[in-house]
Amino acid sequence: MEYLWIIPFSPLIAFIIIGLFGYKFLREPLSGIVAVIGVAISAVASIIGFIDVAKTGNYYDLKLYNWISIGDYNVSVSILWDPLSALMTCVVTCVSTFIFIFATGYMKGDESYPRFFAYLSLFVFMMLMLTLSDNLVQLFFGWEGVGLASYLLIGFWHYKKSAANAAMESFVVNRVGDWLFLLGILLAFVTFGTLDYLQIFNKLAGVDYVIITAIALLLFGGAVGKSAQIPLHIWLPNAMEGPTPVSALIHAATMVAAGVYMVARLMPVFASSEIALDTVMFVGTMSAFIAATMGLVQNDIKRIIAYSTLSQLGYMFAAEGLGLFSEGMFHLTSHAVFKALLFLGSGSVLIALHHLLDVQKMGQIGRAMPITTGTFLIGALALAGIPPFVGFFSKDPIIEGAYEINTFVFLFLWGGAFLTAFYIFRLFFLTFFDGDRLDPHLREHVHESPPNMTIPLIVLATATVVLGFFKEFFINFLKPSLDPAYMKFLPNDVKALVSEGLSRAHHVHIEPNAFSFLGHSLTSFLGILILATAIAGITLAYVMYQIRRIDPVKIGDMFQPIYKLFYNRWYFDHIYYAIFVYGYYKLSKVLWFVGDKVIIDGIVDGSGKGSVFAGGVLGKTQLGRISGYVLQMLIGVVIFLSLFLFLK
Amino acid sequence: MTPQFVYADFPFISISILIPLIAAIIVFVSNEKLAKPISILSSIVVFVISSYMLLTYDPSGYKIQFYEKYTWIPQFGISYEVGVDALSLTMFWLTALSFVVAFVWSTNIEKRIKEYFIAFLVLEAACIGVFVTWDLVAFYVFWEVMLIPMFLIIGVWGYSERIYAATKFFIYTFFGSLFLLIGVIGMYIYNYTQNNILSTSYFDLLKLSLPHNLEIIFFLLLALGFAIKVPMWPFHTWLPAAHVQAPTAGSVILAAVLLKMGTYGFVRFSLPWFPEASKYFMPVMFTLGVIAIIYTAMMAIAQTHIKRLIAYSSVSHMGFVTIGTFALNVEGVNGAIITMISHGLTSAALFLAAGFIYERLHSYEMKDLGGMAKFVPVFATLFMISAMASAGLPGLSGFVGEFLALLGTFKVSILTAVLAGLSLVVGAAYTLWLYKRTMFEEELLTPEKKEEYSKLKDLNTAELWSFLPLVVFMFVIGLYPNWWINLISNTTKFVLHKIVGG
Repeated sequence: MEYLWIIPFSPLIAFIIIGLFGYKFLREPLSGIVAVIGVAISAVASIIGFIDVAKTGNYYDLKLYNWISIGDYNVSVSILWDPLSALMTCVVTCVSTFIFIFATGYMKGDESYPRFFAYLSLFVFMMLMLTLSDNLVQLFFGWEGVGLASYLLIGFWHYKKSAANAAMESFVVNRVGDWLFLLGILLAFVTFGTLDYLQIFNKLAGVDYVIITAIALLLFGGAVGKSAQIPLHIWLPNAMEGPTPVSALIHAATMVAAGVYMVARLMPVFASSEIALDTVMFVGTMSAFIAATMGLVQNDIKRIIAYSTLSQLGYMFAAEGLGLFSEGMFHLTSHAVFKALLFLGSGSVLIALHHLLDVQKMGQIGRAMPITTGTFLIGALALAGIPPFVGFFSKDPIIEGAYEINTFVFLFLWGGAFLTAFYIFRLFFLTFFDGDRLDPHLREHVHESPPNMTIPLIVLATATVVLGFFKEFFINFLKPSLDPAYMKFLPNDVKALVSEGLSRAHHVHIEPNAFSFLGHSLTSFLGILILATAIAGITLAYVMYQIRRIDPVKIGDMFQPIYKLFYNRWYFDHIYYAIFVYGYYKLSKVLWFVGDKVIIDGIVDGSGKGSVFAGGVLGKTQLGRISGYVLQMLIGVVIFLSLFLFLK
Repeated sequence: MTPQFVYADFPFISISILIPLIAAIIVFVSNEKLAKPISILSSIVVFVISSYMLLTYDPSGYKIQFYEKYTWIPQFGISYEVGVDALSLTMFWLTALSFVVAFVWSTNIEKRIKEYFIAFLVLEAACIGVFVTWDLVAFYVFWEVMLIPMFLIIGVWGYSERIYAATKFFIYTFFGSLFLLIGVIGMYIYNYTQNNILSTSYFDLLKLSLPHNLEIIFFLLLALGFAIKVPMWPFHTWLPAAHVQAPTAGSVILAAVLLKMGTYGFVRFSLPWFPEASKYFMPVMFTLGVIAIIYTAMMAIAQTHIKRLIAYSSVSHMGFVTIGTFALNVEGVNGAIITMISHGLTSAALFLAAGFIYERLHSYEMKDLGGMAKFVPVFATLFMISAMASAGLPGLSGFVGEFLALLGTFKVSILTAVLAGLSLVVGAAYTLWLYKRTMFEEELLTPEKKEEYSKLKDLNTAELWSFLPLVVFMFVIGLYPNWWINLISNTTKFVLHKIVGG
């Protein structure tokens, strides 16, 4: 399995080549091609590795080199290849490949074309360091590395003030999560004396419940930042300042899912603490619902999809908190595919409309761009949870599981499903159909995108249609990583502990086979209820925004306070800005003036002047001050010597 | 743990101190045009020597290597005693590197060119002397001598308020050194009264066991001298003033080398000489370290003058060195030493960046800056890497040291680690703020400014070659820190041997 090192390093090499020669030799389109080749190689390698693991169910732990020694423990740069990391790596590399291809079209003519592909390749490298790590420090390396890549790419068009601000915001808000994450790592090291996952798992049984809970919660704090869950979600919608392929890759399919992956990766740790699982569940549920309400009333096409990403990540966390880790990971995979599709579709629209973002100013572009419209519809149906698209097979089981386990969670996830169906079809109708609100000048130029953009759309749409039917395979494939009964590397006492932690989900049976699940869904009360909810959401969107039987403005007026609350994103941004941006900055200014200038320098300069006065003779010259200090020194020496004699 | 002494086959250290002095004499007698090449050449020779020593240093056990000792004034027990352990050596190496960087960068000095280079050469000799000498008289002489060229560098080649800043720098640090002197004299006298030995050798004084009260007093006297040099809050206000006024090369040396003397002092003297007092004052040092980290990070973001911002960021990073050192365990002290090296690289690079911006746009004020990135891509890249290294991005040098320092701190005080860890957030805030306000937001520029910007030249050869080594070593330390950890570990154990035993 030594060839696995190719997976992360192939994009790194592409990054270095483009970084060094991008502007001088490669330019456009060679830089893009180098990047695509780099990521395609790692996609092929990871698929080969995936097949190997699927066949044998083995796991491999390759140590590449020792990075940091801490006493007897070595933090190594390593590759842990087991079903979970293989799945995540395949998702990252395969989705990346198609998004890279799309980007060669999307970024056409941009003066910083090579820089874009260099950053993208860097991102993939960092993301793979994250997914392939066998210890928490390398995970943190990748974690911060993708944060850097995200920062660089959100700020890619840094000539814009808004982009520069959004980039900085994303990095700093992520750092709040990373602060907790790092403390979690430190606590884990002090507790276990190691940071390798497998060794941590081995030692879980003997550790105090409070400490396990603290470690899990601190690490989850990092996930809240990286996966933009409430209350650290505010950076993600603003991150839409980045080019659309970036939004698709980093801020939908891969990086933001890193938190979900991390929780699954450390499943035994989280499962050892009920409080930790409950927290994950609660934060996920609230994010799923609240983000969906925010998405209802936005008009920026990319921001609507961004809020949808927040919400869907919430579903994944909720699934993990419910103990349904495999379902959470399957939803991650499914979401990566259909959300990338939705973002790329919106990117295709943006190219056609010259980066017009307001859905209220679009309309009736569907006929001019049939492939985009068709594939977008598939993505939207998947997001809404309509069979036979993959979203149905990944999202419905989470809601059904919640029904069995926790009514509170069920109600919010179920409500969220309605909102999801509504907002995505609001977007769909407003953008592609409805009345013609488009500027006539733009209307003339609306056209379908070139093949290097439509082919990725078609591939992702196909995957959206097909993938759901492989669910049984996925669930079985993940068992050696996520089902304690099958986890070879866990000692028995830890297995018992983890099983007990996951017992909240033991009575839940979710049919893994796609056809059986579909049958169950169409015949059981609960299945029909959830499906009907989604259809109701779509229908309402159709009535309000397509045939216009209900006037959205009137509804907005009717529920004025709620509308305002949603439109202002529950005032999170306002409050944070007031406290952490404006407040912090003003406080710093005041502290600087009062603390450093008035008090400290007052004392310093004052004592200088005082000693000048004492020094007397040489008066106000610079030498005078020095003489003053000499005097002080003499006084000091006298005091000291008397002390000395006294102590003697 | 007793140190072994490995005598030098060839007096590398003495030669390294002499080379800059000889170069200074040559500059003095030669043509003005030769001043820069001679300085660069001599500094490169010293750097090569230090690198050779670094690569041939034997990190097993605790051995003082390249050791030389000659009697100087036997009546008072004063000798000339130089040698290196890993701490001395890494600081010596950092000094040598910083001076290469400073000399290569110094292209457009307008006045008193010869004097400028002479001042720097004398400064180099004194700085090296501080780190390699084991005799306290020589140490104190180097420590004080260093102030004079630095005073001149700020006072003569600085900006408009240079006299105030230079005086403040000089008086403040001189004030601190007096306490240091008193402390050292006290130790000397006490050693004589106890053992009837007159010796100014570090190792002789190390054998002393002091009564508790006296240990506390000596600790405080030395600590005041070091704390001002670091500088620790609340003794830090001389630093922003000095940096704002100092010429770029002066700021580089000030940040990369001079600040390290304070923390070097803590690790070298305070911990081994005063183990009980170090434990006793741990909470105080933790408190001051945390205040330094958070309070000065807030100071940094309040600034509009970019050099002052970077100066405050230095104070903030040195807070990590303080808490790492006073965690009094191997991780903490290892982290402190690596942070010292890393901060030398990153702060030097950031001051070079400030210097670059000033040379292009003739201002340090944020309101006159911004939107440069597109016009100077190579510079923007190196500046970004330096900023990220400073912000502690894993894979670059800043992370390793701060991670270890935090780990060491976490083991003894969770609260301190939690608060110090906040620097992840506030540090990122001011660093990215600095970058954004100087490099991004081109759309805010007026058309005339854009016109002016389009004529900007990217890094020239000299600038590139002084910037590049710093960035390269940021990667070297960040990606392969084990080599450095292995190098310093036994020195760290020696430093701590009276505290943790062994």
